[in-house]
Amino acid sequence: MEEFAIDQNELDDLKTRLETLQLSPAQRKVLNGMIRLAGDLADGEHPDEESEEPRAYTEDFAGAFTPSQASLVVEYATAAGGGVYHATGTAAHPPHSAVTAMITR
Amino acid sequence: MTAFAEVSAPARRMDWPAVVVSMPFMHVDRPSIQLGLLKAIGTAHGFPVRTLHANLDFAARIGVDYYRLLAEQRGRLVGDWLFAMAAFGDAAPDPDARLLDEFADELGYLAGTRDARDRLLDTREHDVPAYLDALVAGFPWQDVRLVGFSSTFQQNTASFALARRLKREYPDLVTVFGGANFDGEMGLELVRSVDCVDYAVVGEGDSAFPRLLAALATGEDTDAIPGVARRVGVRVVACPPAPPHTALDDLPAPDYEEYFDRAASLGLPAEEVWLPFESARGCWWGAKHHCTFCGLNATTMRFRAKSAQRVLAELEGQARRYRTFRFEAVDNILAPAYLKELFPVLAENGQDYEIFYEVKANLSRAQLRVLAHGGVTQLQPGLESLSSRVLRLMDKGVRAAQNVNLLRWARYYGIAIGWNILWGFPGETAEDYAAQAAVVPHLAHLQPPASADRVWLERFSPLFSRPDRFPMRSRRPEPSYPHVYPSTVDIERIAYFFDYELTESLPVQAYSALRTAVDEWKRAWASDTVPVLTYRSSPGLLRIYDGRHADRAGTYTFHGTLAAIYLACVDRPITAAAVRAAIDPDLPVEAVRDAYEQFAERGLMFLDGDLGLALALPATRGR
Repeated sequence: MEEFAIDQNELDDLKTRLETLQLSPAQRKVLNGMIRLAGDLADGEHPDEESEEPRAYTEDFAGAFTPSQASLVVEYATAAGGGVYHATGTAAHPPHSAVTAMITR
Repeated sequence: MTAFAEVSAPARRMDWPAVVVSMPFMHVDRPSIQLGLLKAIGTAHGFPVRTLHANLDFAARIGVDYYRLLAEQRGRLVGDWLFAMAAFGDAAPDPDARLLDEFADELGYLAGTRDARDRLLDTREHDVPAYLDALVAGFPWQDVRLVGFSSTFQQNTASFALARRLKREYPDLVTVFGGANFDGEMGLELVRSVDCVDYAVVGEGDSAFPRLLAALATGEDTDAIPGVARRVGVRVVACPPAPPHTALDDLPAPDYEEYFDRAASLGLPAEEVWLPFESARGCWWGAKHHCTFCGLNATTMRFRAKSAQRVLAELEGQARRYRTFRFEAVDNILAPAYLKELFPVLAENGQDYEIFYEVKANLSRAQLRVLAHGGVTQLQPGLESLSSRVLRLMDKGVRAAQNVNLLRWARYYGIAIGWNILWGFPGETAEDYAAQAAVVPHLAHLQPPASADRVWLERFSPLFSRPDRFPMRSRRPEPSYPHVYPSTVDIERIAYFFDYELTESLPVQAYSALRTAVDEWKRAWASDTVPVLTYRSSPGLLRIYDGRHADRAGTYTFHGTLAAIYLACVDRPITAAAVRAAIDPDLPVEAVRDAYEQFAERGLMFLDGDLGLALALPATRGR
């Protein structure tokens, strides 16, 4: 379908013109149904969010992640020594630190 | 000789030998800095002062592990309750042990091979009297004229119990009490209502203690000594405390010799001791903005610090004297000057200490690096929350993004962090806690809090003292106090912890999700494989290795502008506008914000209002 643009003023004008047409009740019912159907189809083709600004970098983020266990992660977590504090096997902490007490400052 | 040394004739001083005592439930794993300092001060003034870490004897008697559990401050005064019968005799309020029934659900952690009730009753009925008997019989009390008791947290009743027995055996002995439990009106009420208290030092004792010793030695009037209180009939006579001591460089180094001797004689391990040292008093932040929940520094908030040169000399001297490299600062907050004058020198000198400090949480990456290189291995920052809104309600003076950033760089530089999450502040909303619960899984690679719980109401805190700002439906001393103190003691005046109900508060369910998330965080941190989130970068290329959750592990790869945006948020929390200015002035700010949001959706960035903070840490260490 060829894309077109229409603003709210033109839509209001179209609605006014259609309402001025002399139609039988049955014809009016058919016309209303057509308008509703067209609106539904248009909504499906142009969802609400199309009116919002597209987010930047969406495609970059979409392809950024590669699942799997990264070898470097394992290396980092298990490397001996270094400066990273590990929860297990830690040195004794000072007895009054918050590790053992709820007395906080 | 310092100003406060103008006391009495030297000969008379030698006639007033004194002993300062630390009773249960002072921690068993370190000497008391109060005792060490009072001994050194007394000695410097010519008084023969000994120290007696009597808490060690009780730990040796009942077992160190059980003692450590009792010494933990978990909200109920179990330690004080154990000694209440010995302290107050027939006036003790709970001979039937109703406390153990009332709080049975909370005391399970004290169970050994028997249930907690039987064990605690046995301790009270058998261990406590036998311990006190041995203490009275096993020390040459006849050789001293004065016994000083340092009392903080659960040390009151054990101290009263010993003082009561000593008064019975040696009626001429003078007792002096001090410490945090005697600060403010608490001390005055204890002087009024507890017979075995002859004198109390209210506030800092550096000057008051030697002046009191001097006055007693010469028979001079003690009523004019600032900070000293005594009972006269039914009244309490007290001289207001002097201004807080400012010349900290003039104080001697604490003398811990007798702690190590006693620990050795009792067969207690003392090799792993963190030696307490004091480099500053008061709180420079609290003097400007008192954190709403903090009850420390009751009357001595003014910040004072030793010079860096003095601290260096003290650490060197104490390390040599006690053959240790582990030092625990008892300061409430790190003196900012030490970041330039102390820790760089320690690093440059190549001194290999392990140091603990309490700090304000707004430390930068560079400052944490300075601390780490200077030997700091343990920090206790007042993090308290992962919500900037709640932190504002606490008057903490930091944002959540700064807290998270401290956790990040502390991990990177190998510094262990002790912290808690607190809740229960007037004005907080359920959304504040839902948001924290949602972000916790993204922080799995950082050190979790020790606990997450409702804030305690402490005397001297703004929550306690400012009912106009924090209106309450009810407030009463924590309910174990009436099980400890006789009705003749006004517990409204001696209590430090209080139960309370704020006029405005959230239902407990509001915190459930956060509590659950923190429990999971702690479990993951304690597992064999510590969660990690690291990155490597090169111009135009960024790869983030996500090992925070085993079922979602993997790598993210970003290029060009996205990589630049992320790397601009690595050092510190930064706004999108600042990132744009730093990497490309033509870049729309909205595009940076979009990137922030999408990094955050993947748990790679922490957003805090207009600030963004990368969560990953460099894979290359130690920079």
